[in-house]
Amino acid sequence: MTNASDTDYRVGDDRIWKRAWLAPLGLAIVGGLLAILTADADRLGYAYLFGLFTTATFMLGALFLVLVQFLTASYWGVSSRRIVEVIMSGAPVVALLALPFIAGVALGKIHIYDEWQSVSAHGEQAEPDSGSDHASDHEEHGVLDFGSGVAHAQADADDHGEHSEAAAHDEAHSHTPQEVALHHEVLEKKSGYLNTKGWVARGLGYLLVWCLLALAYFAWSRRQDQDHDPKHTVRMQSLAAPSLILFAGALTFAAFDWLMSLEAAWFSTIFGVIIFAGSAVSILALTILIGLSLYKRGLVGDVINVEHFHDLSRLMFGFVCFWTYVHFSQWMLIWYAGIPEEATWFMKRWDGGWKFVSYLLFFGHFVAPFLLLMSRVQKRALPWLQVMCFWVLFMHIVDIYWFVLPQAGAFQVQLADIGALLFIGGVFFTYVFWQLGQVPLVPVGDPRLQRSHHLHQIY
Amino acid sequence: MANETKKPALYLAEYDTPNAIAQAAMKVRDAGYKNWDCHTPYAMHGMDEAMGLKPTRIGVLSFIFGMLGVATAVFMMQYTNAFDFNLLNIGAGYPLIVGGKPPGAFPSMVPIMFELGILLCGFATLFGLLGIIKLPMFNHPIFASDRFEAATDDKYFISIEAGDQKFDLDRTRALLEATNPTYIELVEEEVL
Repeated sequence: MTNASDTDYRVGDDRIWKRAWLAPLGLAIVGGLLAILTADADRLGYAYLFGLFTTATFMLGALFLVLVQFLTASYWGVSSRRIVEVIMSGAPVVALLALPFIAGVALGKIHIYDEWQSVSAHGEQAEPDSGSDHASDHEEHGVLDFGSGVAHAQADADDHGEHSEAAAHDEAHSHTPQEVALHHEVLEKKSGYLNTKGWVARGLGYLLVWCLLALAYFAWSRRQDQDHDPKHTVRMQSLAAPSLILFAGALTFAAFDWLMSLEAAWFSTIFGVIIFAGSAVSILALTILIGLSLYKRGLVGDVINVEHFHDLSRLMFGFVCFWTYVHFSQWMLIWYAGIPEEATWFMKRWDGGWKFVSYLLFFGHFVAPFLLLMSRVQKRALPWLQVMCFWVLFMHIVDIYWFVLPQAGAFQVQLADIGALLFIGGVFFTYVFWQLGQVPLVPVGDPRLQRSHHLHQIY
Repeated sequence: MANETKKPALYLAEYDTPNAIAQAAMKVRDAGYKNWDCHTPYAMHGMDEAMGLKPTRIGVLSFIFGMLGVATAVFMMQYTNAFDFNLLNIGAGYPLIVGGKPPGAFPSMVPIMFELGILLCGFATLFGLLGIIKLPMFNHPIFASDRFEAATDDKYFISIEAGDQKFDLDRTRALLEATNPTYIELVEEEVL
């Protein structure tokens, strides 16, 4: 154990893990065919974004987990770190899969961002003088409209009991000309940020940041496998803090650009944090699942054992609560204020059958894991933990689905959505499972590995 | 203090190495003692198993009181703000409409449920813990031993209290001697 070399802890000839990458590859092909054959062009944009972002959150969560472990110089997670690193190193795969999406939006083939794209395109063409006239024109109306808008909303609220839900739904989505003009004005003010050129440039920037960080950390860790030199650890630790700042900025603004701008006039400052919380939950669940499989197949000996699964699941439990906290905060503040421009986003996630999914998220993503993963006994019973991780991972996918698809209309799970997720996730995990077969399954050169191996939970 | 007498309080056995105390702890555990303890200069991994300690049940207490806090919050807010029924003739609740929300709107109660849940959970954990570890305790007979000061420096001690059902002056001493301590002491306490 003390002299673990690069040849130890490999997948080698394991019956299942040697060929594990074939399974996601098959799913990717099936999913790709499913998406292409069943989707119409409009739906495909949303479905692709859903699949892409879900997969991206796995990679982002992994990047976070690796960086934060170096930031805190922790030893508990060293033995399970290689699994996380391999998922993290899939950043270029995510980037490759994101390029067609970015190109599609840039070239006007994907129409999911039309709301702000049309406004910003119009703004670019208009002359500066007429533009400012236009704006001041609306400002005058704006004051008046705001009052009537509120009155309108109140009248709606008063009558709400008498309307059927469908009628209320229709009313919420029909807008007066003044409201449309006001909406347009908001988008014009945002067009300095929300315009196609800026969106594309920023998108490429995020992908570049993630790829650089992920590949650098993976390369250093791999080099350490061979030379067992602690200097790599020192370097990775000293770069962890600036890397995390870059990572957090890129994640937050990617969430703004790719998810939040689907509802162009809507805004929430905590949005990126919610996405981050979900990413962290998903990577912990994934790490436990892959780690459990490797552990059961005897590929990692007892270097990853119940103590590490216990630690990972505790962190997952914590992030489930954190996810709930930020998600609920955002929703409750908007519910309490009851301002129409803020509430629209949630109305789309309530009407048209989405109410059920919103409830499912509350009970499935919070209440169930909170009660079923709370005690030490539940976390250390590995079959139970495995079931819970599958469940939490599924709920994370539902969560991202809930972020993207309500923008496409009423709740209806289409084959295209599942197909897109299977395709992008499948391609990603084909790479991940293939890469797992190429590298030692624990970071054999890390100076803290032995301490991590003998981890012991006293409480 | 004229008729001051002394009675045995505990046996104290001293060891030089962590290995020695771990071996000794297993023997004391297997002999069936309950009211005994190990004193080491630092937290020793594996000592829980060597001493046969069961996992703490403080979590159960925390959970029950946390849920009690949540339930209290729900009840108080529903009773005072949502309904006008009169419970046990102590006064009727008064339905309040705040910010245009219906009386007793659930989302606005969640922060209070959370806070009160955390508060009672924290109280239960703190006071439950103090109860379990018997604090505050102003003195313990073990401090009568001069050698015990080394427990914070470089020595390892096992103490078996006279309150234990199996405690017997001769047999307990024999058990401890069999574990090869470097020193055994019978610590006495004053009876007033």
